[in-house]
Amino acid sequence: MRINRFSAAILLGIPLIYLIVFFVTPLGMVVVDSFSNPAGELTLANYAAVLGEAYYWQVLGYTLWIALVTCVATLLLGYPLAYYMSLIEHRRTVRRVCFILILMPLFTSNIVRSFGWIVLLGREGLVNETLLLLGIIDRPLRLLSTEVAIIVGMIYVMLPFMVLAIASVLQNMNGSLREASRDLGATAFATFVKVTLPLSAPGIVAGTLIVFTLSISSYVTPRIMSGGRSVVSSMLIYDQFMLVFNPFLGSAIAVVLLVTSFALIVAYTLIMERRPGRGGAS
Amino acid sequence: MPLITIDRVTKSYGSLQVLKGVSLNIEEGEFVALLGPSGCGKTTLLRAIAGFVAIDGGDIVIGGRSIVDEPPNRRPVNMVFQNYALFPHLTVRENVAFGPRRNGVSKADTAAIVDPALETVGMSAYGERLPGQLSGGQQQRVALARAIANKPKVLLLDEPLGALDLKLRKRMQMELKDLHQKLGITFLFVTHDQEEALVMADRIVVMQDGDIAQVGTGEDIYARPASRYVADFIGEANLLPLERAADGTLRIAGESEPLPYQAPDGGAAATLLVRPEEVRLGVVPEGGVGLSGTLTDRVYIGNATRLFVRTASGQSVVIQQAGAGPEAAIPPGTPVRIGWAREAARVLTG
Repeated sequence: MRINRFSAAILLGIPLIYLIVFFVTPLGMVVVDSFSNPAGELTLANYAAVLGEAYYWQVLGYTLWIALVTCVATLLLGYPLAYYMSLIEHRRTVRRVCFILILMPLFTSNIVRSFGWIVLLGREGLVNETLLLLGIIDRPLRLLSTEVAIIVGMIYVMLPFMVLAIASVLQNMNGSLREASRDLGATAFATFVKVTLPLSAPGIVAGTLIVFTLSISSYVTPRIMSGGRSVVSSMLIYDQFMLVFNPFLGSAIAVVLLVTSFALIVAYTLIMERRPGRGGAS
Repeated sequence: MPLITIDRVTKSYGSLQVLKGVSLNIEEGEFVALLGPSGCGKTTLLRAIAGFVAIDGGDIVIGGRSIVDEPPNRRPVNMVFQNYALFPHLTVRENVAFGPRRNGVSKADTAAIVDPALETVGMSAYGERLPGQLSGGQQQRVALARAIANKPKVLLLDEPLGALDLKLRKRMQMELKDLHQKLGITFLFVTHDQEEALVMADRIVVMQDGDIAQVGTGEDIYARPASRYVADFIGEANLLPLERAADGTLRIAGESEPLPYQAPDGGAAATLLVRPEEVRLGVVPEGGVGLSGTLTDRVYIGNATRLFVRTASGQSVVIQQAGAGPEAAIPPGTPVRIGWAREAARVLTG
């Protein structure tokens, strides 16, 4: 279908204006701020402070680490779920129930959801109370404010995105490809490794990209699960803006995080494109 | 001993019985077509042989060994899928090598299988292409090469020509026939196209509602159909409902003249089959059957002319004559006399 210039201008113009007003402009302001000092002069001092301080590097590293672990964990948990929902379960109703259950976490607000974790994992939370009651432990365990708690919380929030990205690719995969593989002598496992997995690569790439980027910028879950300590970049940025009132340093941290994650994502996409799901038959 | 023995195979999906105890023997090296309309069970039967459909009852034996409990990868058959099912992420060569590699052929020896297989289907020049870069006909050839690379005892083909245009389909029909000759493998071919079955198959299995209606050579089935259903499915047919008169003779419904044919045993409904090319206009052969009617329409189809006649009792009869013929001059609406030789028609049940 060909569309005329006028329609094209409208179709492209509206999202373009939206992006400029609500994305490019604030981002530009952040970048400008990151090169400014309170007197309004241009300076590299903010970057010197961020890049020269080991603490900021640690937080950045930890942010990326949490995002990476979340990514890998949701992939390992989400792939079987997506596989089951799209390829094994053929009853429509069961499929729908699965989708609703998977989407459930997204129906509730991030904050309500995370406070749910406190009720569950807190010192006097359900898990500790139960374990105490059963006499399995004598003192409440520290479940919140640990790295494991942050990662568990992150996985819970991010899993739907991974499952949906992979399931959509698996569902559209031509079923006779798997039959052809079996027909030609491949076992069920070989069929998965040689056919299903390489052909679901686009879903894996999409899922990991979404989960990684959302994890890097995630704020509420790490804040609540970490017990309030500033452990990831988004919390550090928030603190600089809202508590320390140093938007200039906060902007510099934000830009560093942005550039780093952008570079990582570009590298990742390039690597995945170089081998477009080529499993290799031999 | 036949290569394939299909013994009273049944399969139901819920309350729908798609295979009602199908039995069939196929000899080694035969080219057999499973023919029938969609929903007759032909594809289910093929998929049961390939191992994608678990049968409820009966047995399938290939080369003396029951295969019903074997997974698809352990069965001595390979399939050409309706939509080819080529692996889109693998090159043509890798697609063809897929089978041998999974069956433990070393990388080095695989080339000695892949090259001749591609050569057989005339695709040697395309080895490094991806399936997405090939035309429908080329994909079809690759799918064939991939299926024969494993040297199966039986090649199963599930409407493999359905997606091709008419001209290419005709050419592929002949190529498949040649390939069958060259390889000497048994071919079991599913199609709903009676012409395709007639062109290629040594033997045609006509299926009807999960059962076999008739098995025979193309000629058997065309000239001596076992039932009204088979006659209607293969070729063009005039099917005239018959009535039994009080004296036991048969008449065409609505006509008074007794026919020179035997009524089938029992009280089953009967139909008279006359192929359009057997009906004569204006002549009633000696000892044959004659009817009066009106010419209603005439269609010229290049190599033949088809005349549509409505008989006095309201039956419509199609006549096919070679070429344009002198009948071209008869205007529609003209009363005509039609007839056919006694042995040109058959009484069928149903």
